[in-house]
Amino acid sequence: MSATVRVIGIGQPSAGDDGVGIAVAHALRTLRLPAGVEIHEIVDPASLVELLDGIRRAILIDAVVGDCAPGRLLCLTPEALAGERLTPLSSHATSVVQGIQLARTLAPGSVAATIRLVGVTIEPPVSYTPHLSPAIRAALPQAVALVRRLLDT
Amino acid sequence: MARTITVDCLTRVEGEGALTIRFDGGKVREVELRIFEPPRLFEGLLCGRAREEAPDITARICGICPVAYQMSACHAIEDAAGVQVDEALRSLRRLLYCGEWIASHCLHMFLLHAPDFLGYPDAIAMAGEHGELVRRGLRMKKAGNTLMRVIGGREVHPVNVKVGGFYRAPTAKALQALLPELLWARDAAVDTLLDFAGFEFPDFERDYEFVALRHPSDYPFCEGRIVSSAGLDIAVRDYEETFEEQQVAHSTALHSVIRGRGGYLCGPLARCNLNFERLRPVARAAAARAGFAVPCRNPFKSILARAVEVVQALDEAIAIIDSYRPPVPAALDLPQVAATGYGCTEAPRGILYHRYTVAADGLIREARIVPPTSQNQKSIEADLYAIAGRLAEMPHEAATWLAEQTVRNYDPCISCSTHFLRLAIEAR
Repeated sequence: MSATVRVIGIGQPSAGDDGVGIAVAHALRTLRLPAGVEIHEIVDPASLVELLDGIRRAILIDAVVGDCAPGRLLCLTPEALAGERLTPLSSHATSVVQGIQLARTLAPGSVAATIRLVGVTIEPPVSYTPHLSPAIRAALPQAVALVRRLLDT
Repeated sequence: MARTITVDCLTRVEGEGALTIRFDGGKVREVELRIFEPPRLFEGLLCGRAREEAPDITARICGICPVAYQMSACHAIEDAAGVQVDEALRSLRRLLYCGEWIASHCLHMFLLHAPDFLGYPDAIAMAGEHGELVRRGLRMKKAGNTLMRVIGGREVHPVNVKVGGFYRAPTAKALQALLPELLWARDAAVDTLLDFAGFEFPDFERDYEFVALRHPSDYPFCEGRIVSSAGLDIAVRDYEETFEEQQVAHSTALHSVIRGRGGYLCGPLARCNLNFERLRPVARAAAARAGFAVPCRNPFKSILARAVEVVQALDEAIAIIDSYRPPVPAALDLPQVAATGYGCTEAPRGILYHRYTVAADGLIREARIVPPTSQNQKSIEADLYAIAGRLAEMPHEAATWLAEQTVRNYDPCISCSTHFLRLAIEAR
């Protein structure tokens, strides 16, 4: 059966807590999920152009640097994100918002009609490590549960 | 009249920097390409680390050209140990490098540079009316990224490269599975070159000293002598006797010059000018159809040089895969030797020089890295000086755009150069 929903973890797993989106995607792979759900892990949000096309719904999971304590969960729409003054973490890559905008511009009729971004707040990564910090490890089960709830709605 | 063009945050370049052009009575007084990304001190970080760590540590200097750092580091460490990889390993390295050139050049051509010629502020705006072009570019870029993933273990910061070769050689079957998409991409690359050749290029030329590697028979990737259009012809180990880095007050990146001569240009335009006959027949034929001939001294046509190199990289990738046999062993052992080694390879943006002094215990005692963007800084500023007269006569918005485009011709990677950009045009 072809996918109707894609869950896409975004991040750089060797940059500590920036890899939380990937970690959530990995955890979801171990669970029994509704039919038609595909899990993906990506580093470059330019990949969203392809992954958001031809499906009904997408849930993106990414680390978010915010002014609140690390480990807080946010459930955002792309429109809410586009209204924020975001500082891209890297000029080498397309941002998540740019990836979504590019997908919508290139395939306005077939891009996922519903896109939700599950954000996990982190402290800016300062060193290369494949490990999540204790605060983000503790938030992982709730993030996985939030994605499960979104899949069930 | 005094006037200043200022770009506080130059867009569609990689990294963070700014540009200020100050005019005095219609004449350009000062051009500053200000790079303010903090120095990243990688050379210091490498001291005391094992020689085997150099490829993975230096790959972290850049997310878009990590393979270049890995290749220059490997060649320098191997040079110190007196080891040269065999033809099978050399081919696999060239194949990995093809992937990086394809991905890096397509990112710049389609998403960063083409909007300049088609009159859009960015690729998203361009995609509204040129969706097919953007889709093609993303698909071609993906073909390069996939090559990097299959050979290198992942698309960004590959993990399969090691000093002496690879941790594991990909199977012939895994590489052959990539052929249908690479064959599509090669045709798409030729179409792209022909499309881009129809752009309107500003009438601008400078008498550059082009610098690139030159190999006896192949288009340069990992080996060769460093040559220039002004007659330079040196071994890689003589790099520091010929080139020097200078500190400038307005930039955290060092400026490179050829001793006694000054700035120079490296990258796709230099490589094409110095190695055109080394291109594969398919790339040469595509260049001829597009009307791209050398010598080409118009930096705005660097987008055509990149497009030629994408054809080249795709054709070479296909040829390497067609005759691929996994190298055995996947990596050579290196003897422990206290020595200094030198490596220079052709990163997408130009020559990338590494030197390491390794002690008998295998630890790095001294490291030197000279990335292509710092080598091109002086040439970028000279281009801006040369085009400033035209900028002075243009409306502010158009002048700012052209000044930024002049910088983008170089596909500068400012993160690399400090191991970025904002534009100010000032007049008084």
